[in-house]
Amino acid sequence: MTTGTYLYALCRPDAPQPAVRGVSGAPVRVVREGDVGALVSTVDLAEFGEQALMANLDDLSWLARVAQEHDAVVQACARVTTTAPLRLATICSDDESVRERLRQLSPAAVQLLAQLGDRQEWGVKLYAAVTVPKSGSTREASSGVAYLRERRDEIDRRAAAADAARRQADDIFTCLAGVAIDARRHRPQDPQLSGADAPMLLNASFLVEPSGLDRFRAAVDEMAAALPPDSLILTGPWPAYSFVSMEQL
Amino acid sequence: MTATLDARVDTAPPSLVDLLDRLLGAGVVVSGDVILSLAGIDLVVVRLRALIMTVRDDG
Amino acid sequence: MAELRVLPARVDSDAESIERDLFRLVLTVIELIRQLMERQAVRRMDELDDRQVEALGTALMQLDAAMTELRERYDLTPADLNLDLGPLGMLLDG
Repeated sequence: MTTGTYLYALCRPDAPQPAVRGVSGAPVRVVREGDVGALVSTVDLAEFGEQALMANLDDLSWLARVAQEHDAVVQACARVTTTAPLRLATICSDDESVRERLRQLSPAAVQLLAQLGDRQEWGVKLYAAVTVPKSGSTREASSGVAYLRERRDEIDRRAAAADAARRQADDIFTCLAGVAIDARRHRPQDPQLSGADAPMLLNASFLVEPSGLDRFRAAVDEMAAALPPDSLILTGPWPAYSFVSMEQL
Repeated sequence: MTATLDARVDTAPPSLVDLLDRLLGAGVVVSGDVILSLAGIDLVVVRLRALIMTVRDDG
Repeated sequence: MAELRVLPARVDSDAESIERDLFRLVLTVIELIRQLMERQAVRRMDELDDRQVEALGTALMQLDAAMTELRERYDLTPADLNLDLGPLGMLLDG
């Protein structure tokens, strides 16, 4: 069996080994190199090698399982120590190459872990209000000119509504970013996956200091109060998934 | 009215879409392929859109 | 980059429903073109004289009525004719 080393997160070298199992039931351990550690599992490249991944990442049931297994490991670690989560399917050829990577990343990783501390990520999603169905009045317009005028008015209304929705999303993001340490926007979720009826206007993550959480929550509540019910959804706390990138390290 | 808190407690797993937003570099988009099948035989494949991006680092 | 096939993505038809399924695909494309034409007409209506606007508007109104009748013949709602293109949004404005 050809194996590789799957990485879940970076951590401090004194991080305890989590008790949970990892992807595909693999045991989880900590690889330590100098001032940085990495949570890893040995995995079979028949499942996690490049070719296999191309196929597996297409398979939603595989993706769902592995994502949850990955998250379970990150969560378990984050409960007890500062954890810098890595993206799904970060794989090195073996432990030695992990160590080599850690040596390269070490100063940046140490700094990142120091900055993260016990900060947590909170997700905010904004949905549009359910739109009023198009009126049937254009169907019985009195003349060709009247018909086109009504169509123009409708197109203008929709464009104005779309602009207003975009501005609203931007305002909410900016405001909440002001009461958080850091903020990121994600792409709106595919409604076929989320099952949402209304369009998603904002999908964002905020990094919040525990001491600043009340203020952040109050700001979110204040915004939600001014919106239709269930428009603004808060999720969390998450490990700082959205605030670690290999490009930064 | 307070924000609906979709709170994550230890026993409740996170929603899959929220998790994938964070674990994959750019989220997930569902393919819009449609296959027309008649009497169990796939006749026409209509390719509409296909895109998924992951950020994958290789050691 | 890879495709994520989430839906069964197979429109299983028997001889009876294949007609409706194909019709739905065809109507979707026609509806797209109709909406594009309407948008273009609206964009240009100020540069045209009253007679031209009236002729254009009447033609589009009749086209819209024809589309509605075709849709209803096969019991299709406007939403049925809308395709989700992921980050490109829906095919039509709905």
